[in-house]
Amino acid sequence: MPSPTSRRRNDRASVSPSALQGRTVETPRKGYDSVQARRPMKLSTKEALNGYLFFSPGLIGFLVFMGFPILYSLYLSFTSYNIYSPPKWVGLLNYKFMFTQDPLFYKSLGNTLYYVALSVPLNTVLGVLVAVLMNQKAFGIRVFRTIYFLPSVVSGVAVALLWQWILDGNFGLINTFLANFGIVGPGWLTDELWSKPSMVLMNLWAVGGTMIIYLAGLQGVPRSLYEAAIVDGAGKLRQFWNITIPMLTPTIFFNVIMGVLGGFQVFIQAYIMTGGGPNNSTMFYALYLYNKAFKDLQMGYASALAWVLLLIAMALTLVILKTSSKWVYYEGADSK
Amino acid sequence: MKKKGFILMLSAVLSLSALSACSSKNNNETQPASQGASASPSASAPASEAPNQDPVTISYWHIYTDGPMKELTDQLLADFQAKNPHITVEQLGVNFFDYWTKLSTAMAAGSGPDLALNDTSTVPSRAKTGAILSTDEFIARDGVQLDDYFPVLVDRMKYEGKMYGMPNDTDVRVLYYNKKMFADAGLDPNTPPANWDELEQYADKLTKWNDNKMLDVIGFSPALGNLHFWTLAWTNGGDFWDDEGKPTFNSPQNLEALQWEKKIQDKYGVKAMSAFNSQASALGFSPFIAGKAAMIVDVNNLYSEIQTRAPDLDFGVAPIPYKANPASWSAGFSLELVNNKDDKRAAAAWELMKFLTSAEVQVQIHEASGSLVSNMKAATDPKFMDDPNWKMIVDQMEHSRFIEYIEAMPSWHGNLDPVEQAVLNSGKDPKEFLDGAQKDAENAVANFAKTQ
Repeated sequence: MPSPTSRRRNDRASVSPSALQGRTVETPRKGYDSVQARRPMKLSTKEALNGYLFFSPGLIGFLVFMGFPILYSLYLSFTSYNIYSPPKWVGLLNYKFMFTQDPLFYKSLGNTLYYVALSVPLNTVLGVLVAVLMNQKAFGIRVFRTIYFLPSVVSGVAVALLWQWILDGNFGLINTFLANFGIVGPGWLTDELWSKPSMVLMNLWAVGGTMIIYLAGLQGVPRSLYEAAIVDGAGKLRQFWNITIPMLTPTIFFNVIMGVLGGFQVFIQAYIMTGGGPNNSTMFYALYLYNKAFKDLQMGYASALAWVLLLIAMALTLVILKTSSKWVYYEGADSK
Repeated sequence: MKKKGFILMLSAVLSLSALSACSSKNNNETQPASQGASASPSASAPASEAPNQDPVTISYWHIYTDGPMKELTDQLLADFQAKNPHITVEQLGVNFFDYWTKLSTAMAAGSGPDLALNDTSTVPSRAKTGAILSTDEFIARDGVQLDDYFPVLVDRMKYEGKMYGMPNDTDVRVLYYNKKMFADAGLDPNTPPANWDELEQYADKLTKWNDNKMLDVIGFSPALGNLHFWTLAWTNGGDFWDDEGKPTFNSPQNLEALQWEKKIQDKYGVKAMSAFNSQASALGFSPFIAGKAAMIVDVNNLYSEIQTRAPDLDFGVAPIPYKANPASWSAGFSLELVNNKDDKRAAAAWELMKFLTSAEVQVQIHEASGSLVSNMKAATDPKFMDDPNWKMIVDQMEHSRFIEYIEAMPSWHGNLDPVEQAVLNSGKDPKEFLDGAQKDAENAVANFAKTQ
């Protein structure tokens, strides 16, 4: 995350090796033009070389295990490939079919956008609120923090199975509870109208994951700001609005981006609980992609879907990044 | 953000990712056999070709990760290795949700198992591309009687006239009806509905509304259980593909079946139905077991479920009521020899396949899981056939069909579920939605033709 703190740390880190380099290089180099050897230019090249050397394990790992498959999937997106026989080049056919003849592409994209649009704001608001709550100095607060955080470490499959019970229309916890008040709850997962909100709700249960990050952000807000505000007569609400929130914006910014990217990949709930139904209302993009790849064995088409999703997610992230200067406040960066 | 905060945040993110890494590992739950399953069988393969009795190690992948089937698999493999001391089997059980991804990617990468449990419906996709081996020669050599297996299954294991593996087990859909509710409603508990009209009449008599205009008991709903629109359409003489592989989704018979479903469902209304509707069967809690549905079409597994959960339930099993001809729907698992280009391991894997599909072993599989095994000798073993309900289930295999394998659209039936749901739950027009599905199928077929 590009925070001023991290940048500062990097600067400091890069100072010492170059100073060290300077000393070692100066003396021995004989065969070279001595003038050039002493030039800072040469130093920086060597320093860069060392840098590359140091991160080459990571770089090579990335290129081999990520970069190559990613680029290969770009190639596959222009082919027809059923996994077992070699891919066959079909040009833009996959993309053409996707945009002109595949209603499920639009449906799944719409579902996913709906999910992102609903879950990210809710997660942000709830995450901040819970974090503020968990930031209080109260007896046993650490226990509560743990309790709130726990759901986010449970495996997705287990969570999905658990919530299938909770949300079941006939025998589920929620509807049984509602029945006590004479309310007939909807078929949470079987009603087209409720299936997506149900999954958003489910996702909210794991808000502890974002909460813990907000909590870290909150602990980084200097006490002195609050003290100054109290001296100026600001109430609790005013402090929250004018100090806590602005100081938390870098964290919110980070969580929003992660939330959007995570939201686009929503998969496991639908895969396990609904299989995309009812009436494709939980057919999320990633699930559709998975079905195309592993159920229909149309890897080429699935790759094309993946690339379109990447472009959409990238565009959205870019929009958020561009707007960030308007609402994200970095400590010490406001002097300009 | 202060440094402390940043570090805390960083560590939170790191620990999160570490945890998710753990959990994803758990999802892939590998169940190493006693020898410790290895994903690279090539490493343990002997280098030279040699006579039959040379030691050989093969791998077998399946979906049995817990419960009685896991125990039985362990025991069966021990039995097999005792009988065939030269063969060592490394088994790997992967949970159902992750199995398909793992198996197909491993096979594509050439690191698949020697023997794999797979989906009977999609055999042609693997046979056509040479990913799996024909078992014709083994079957002829060892005199395996294919007549012992359900014909529909043997048929589905064939590609261009050759067998590719052996069928392992299957399922079939039948009508379950509550005999006590029949008697209470003045119906003969020994005469289940045989056709659509009777099904509708009986359903009307069996449905019970409460004072809140909600359903206490539903007579029959096509949306409950595991009927599926295509099964009902088949019982109306409908078909979804013609002999040339062209879609006929909106044929008059199919449309009539969907309209009939809508007619039944509309009696209950969206509101009462959505209150009632549930994915109960996915939870192992069918509304039929709960006494909330008087009749239901469901898979034969429901029978074993009733036996364990509601042994006192007074019920009967009957063929799915039909209009034109009897029909049912089956799916199943096959055992296949993955083409690992190693004759010796393939031969050893065949021995295991032969063992697992033999009548004696399949009897044990049925006893452990209650599943409908592919070997008719086992499925119709006299000790099982004394039970009239089980006999009725087995008899349905005569009329049962599989989903056609259409290369352009392998999960074409998956496109029909949303159509059915839209019509039944959201009051959409059957014709309009069937026409839409027809058009999508035509597009998919036309598009696929261009890629060939």
